[in-house]
Amino acid sequence: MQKKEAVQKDDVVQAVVIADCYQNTFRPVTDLPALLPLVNKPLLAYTLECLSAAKVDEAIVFCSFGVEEVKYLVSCREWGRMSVTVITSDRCSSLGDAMRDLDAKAILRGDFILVTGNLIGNLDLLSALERHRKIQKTDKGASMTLVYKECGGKSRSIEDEMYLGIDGKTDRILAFQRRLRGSLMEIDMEAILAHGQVDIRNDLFDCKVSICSMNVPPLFSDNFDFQSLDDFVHGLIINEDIIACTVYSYILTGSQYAATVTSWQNYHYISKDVVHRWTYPFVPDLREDERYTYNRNSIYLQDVSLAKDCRLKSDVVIGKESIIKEMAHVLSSVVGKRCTIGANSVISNSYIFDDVVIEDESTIDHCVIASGCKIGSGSSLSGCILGPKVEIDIRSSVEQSRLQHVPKSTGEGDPIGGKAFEYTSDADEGSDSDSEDEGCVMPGWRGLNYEQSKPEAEDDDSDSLSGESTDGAHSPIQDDTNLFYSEIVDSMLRGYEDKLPCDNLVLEINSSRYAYNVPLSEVNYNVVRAILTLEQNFTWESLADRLKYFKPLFVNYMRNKDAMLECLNAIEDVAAINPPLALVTMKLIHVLYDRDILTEDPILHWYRNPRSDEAKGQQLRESVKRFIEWLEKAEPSDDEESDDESEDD
Amino acid sequence: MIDAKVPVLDEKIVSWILDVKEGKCKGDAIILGTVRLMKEVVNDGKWKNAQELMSSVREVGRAVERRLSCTVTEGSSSANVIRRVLRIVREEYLALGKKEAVEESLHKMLTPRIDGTKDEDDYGTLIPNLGAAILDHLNELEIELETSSENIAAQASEHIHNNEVIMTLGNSKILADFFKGAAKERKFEVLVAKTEPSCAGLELAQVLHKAKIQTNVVPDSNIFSIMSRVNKVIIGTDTVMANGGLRSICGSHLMALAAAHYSVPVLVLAPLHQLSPQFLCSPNQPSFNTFLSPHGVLDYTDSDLLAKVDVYNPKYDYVPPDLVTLFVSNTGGHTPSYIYRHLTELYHPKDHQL
Repeated sequence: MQKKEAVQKDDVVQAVVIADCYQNTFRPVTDLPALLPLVNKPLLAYTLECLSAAKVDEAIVFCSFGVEEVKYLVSCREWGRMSVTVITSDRCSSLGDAMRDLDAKAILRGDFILVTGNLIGNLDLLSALERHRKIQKTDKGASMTLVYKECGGKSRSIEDEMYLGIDGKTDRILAFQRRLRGSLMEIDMEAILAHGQVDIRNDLFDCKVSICSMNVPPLFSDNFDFQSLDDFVHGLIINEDIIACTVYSYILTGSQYAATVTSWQNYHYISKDVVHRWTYPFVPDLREDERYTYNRNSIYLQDVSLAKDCRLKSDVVIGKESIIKEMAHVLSSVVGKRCTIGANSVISNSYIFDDVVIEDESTIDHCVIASGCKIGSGSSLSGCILGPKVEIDIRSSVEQSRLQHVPKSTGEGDPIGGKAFEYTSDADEGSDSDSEDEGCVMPGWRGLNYEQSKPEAEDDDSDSLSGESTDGAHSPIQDDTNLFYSEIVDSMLRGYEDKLPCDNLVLEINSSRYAYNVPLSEVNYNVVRAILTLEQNFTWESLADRLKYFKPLFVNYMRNKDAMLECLNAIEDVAAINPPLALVTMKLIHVLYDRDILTEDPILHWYRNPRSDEAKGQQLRESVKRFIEWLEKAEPSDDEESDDESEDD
Repeated sequence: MIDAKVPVLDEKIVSWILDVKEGKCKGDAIILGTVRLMKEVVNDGKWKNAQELMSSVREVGRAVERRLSCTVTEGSSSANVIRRVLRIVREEYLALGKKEAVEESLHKMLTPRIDGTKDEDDYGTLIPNLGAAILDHLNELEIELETSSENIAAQASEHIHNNEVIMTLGNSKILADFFKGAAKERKFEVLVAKTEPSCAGLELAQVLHKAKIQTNVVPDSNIFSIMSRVNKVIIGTDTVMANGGLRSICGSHLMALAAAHYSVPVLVLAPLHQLSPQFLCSPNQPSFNTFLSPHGVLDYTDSDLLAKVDVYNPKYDYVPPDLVTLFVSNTGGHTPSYIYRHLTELYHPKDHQL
């Protein structure tokens, strides 16, 4: 009898819902995104409905604050046959902490489903769970299956960007990266070699749903540096040899949909997906408690009072007892319950929560307006996020800002008037540090409007790039090469100051070269670059001195034509950022030529084949023109001369 | 949030609704389940007279309909069953109370009663054996519903003849049974339209193939071009509207129009419980249709298109009554113009709105 009970307990499907997002993305609207209404229904309600429809037996909601609200939400709805328990722990500041806490509490009985409270979906979790169990039979180390949806090409917001390397046969995840470094993705060569077929994909959308084995919470306990799920996946892939656990992917098929709200942009797009019914049967017109009617052009209404000549264009949801007055335009927006939209107002691409009053002639575009706000007549808001109970004066105009109804600290100026204060968050710093932990770059705050924020983000990218590579002309230098460069600069500086024998330097450079696995061409390039830029204050005398001292290095590295070309490229690049050197370039090349470090073939080749059409390169070539002409003149007699020279030598 | 108005339902009812929602209970089982639920309502004895019984039946009926209509499977037929139960209660009450059943007629409605008594009975009189009588009648209803599919299949050989080419679409048990019934005596060919985007036609084709009926699947785009070769169109439906129109799987209207063009008769298999007292008043009537996920019409991977288009994936088509030649119900064949007669026989006019 007992045994039978135990077996039944094994069959219980458990799901852990993490109701916190441990970030301040949604401030000042809410601290607890699980309670954020999406198409007029809290996200947590979607999550629990999804779990209940997927025949999960037991849902454990884990939250660290806002417990009362979460409990209220859970208690006032029915969740079918699923039992819901709310567990609190106020010490948790990350998903990792939550998992460690769960491990300590030992309430999980087997494989479980891990989701956040921001999940919206209609996916069949049981088949994902079944797949996970099947994999476990063949791979004992399988600890997690991550659920993805194919979204086709470009991700719709920066948070969703993701690159995966998946074993084509077993669906095992071999590489995982949120954003590219430069334009590169890091994949362990061994992983590729060990698996016959590896698919590199970035057309997947991370649903942030994972099927976890029993060993996941203990793994979090063992590795205190795992903060987020990304850390976990990354850690498992990198330390495969040590932890001996594997991660698999599961791609949703058919009409299954799942998405997790992580940012306002995400919120925007997922709202659209709900309005466009991808989440069927979780659409507004099939809600048991508050049924909307579904009309043409994706307009959902519920006991709304519409003025005769108001206009609702496509993708509009308007909640109970709202009033839309004469000549008001609403398009691609969600309006909550008991709202008033004044006459001649224009609302577009916005999300308006409950009990909001928008007076006449207002224009609102790409805004989120939390409950209880009041917008004075004639105002215009664009790209704003308004916290609860903000009041905006008549005829004010606000763009791209976050507002809350109380000042952050007393004595702070109030540029907007009414009850509206700029929300400047210490949270920004907080979220920055968070994002560093995750290893992904989170460019500051962004509102709903992805199109507008996109260029910003790209700027960020280019900034970081130019920061990394000191010379813009050359392709961005990778980390290893940079490290190599700084190391040889160190050893050369030391050698030069202490007048060590140059042969020792060759040894040092070579060992650095093998340590960082730098190809020979880059060694040549960087050695020359280092010699030229060794001293901050550039003078010809010091350079001449250095050339004399480092001659053995030149002799050692400038062995063939390619090496000499690299040398000339290095001179060109350094000259481009160092004007004093540009002035003496001709002299420098001449000296090198005289000392037989450079021969004329590579010089002429370099002169005639500029790498790019850059003005600086042209200028430089112009400045060495005289020397080249002299070389060319000497050329006809080149053969005999070189013979002579060699004989002379 | 739960409205205060919504009654607290019996555990049994709640768990049955969950069964339906989770897909454990499908098709005819939903109809039979509804009757069994109603029997329990009658049995539980919490009512004193017919009026109370009717109001509790209504209450349960409303709740069941409301919840089932939110699920993927449709609850409209179970609402029809509840209407019939109400009718049975009324009939038994009047029969046992020795009162003449009030037949609605134009004459009666227009001429005032001479004796000045109230036209309506309030069903408030206490009648001792009412419960038992109703239960008997409900058992009959249950048997009728159980056998309706068989009854329809038994008529198959009257409608399908040797060497005929039959076109159909969608998938339903009743359709498969009908063809199987005909195949016992006749040799014929079935063309099944694929019925995108649900591809239900493929499932039906598999079932028929297993039953060794000569079956071909045709793409939906070829329905019109093949129609000229077809002798009969036989389809199932979800609901028969009060005017004899159909609410049936998407694509039916297209097929019915093609059939009308080539003067091919359209037969609709419709057990009586699918008969609904509702009309379609306007093409945009919100409660009429169900719109599914755009998947199947547009792929989610077409991310560039997603934001730019509105996609409609309706579950049903409305087929106007003039395109239907004959309804084959468990009581025989009827023309669409006869549907109103069934309506008055099966449902009391006051029960049209639950």
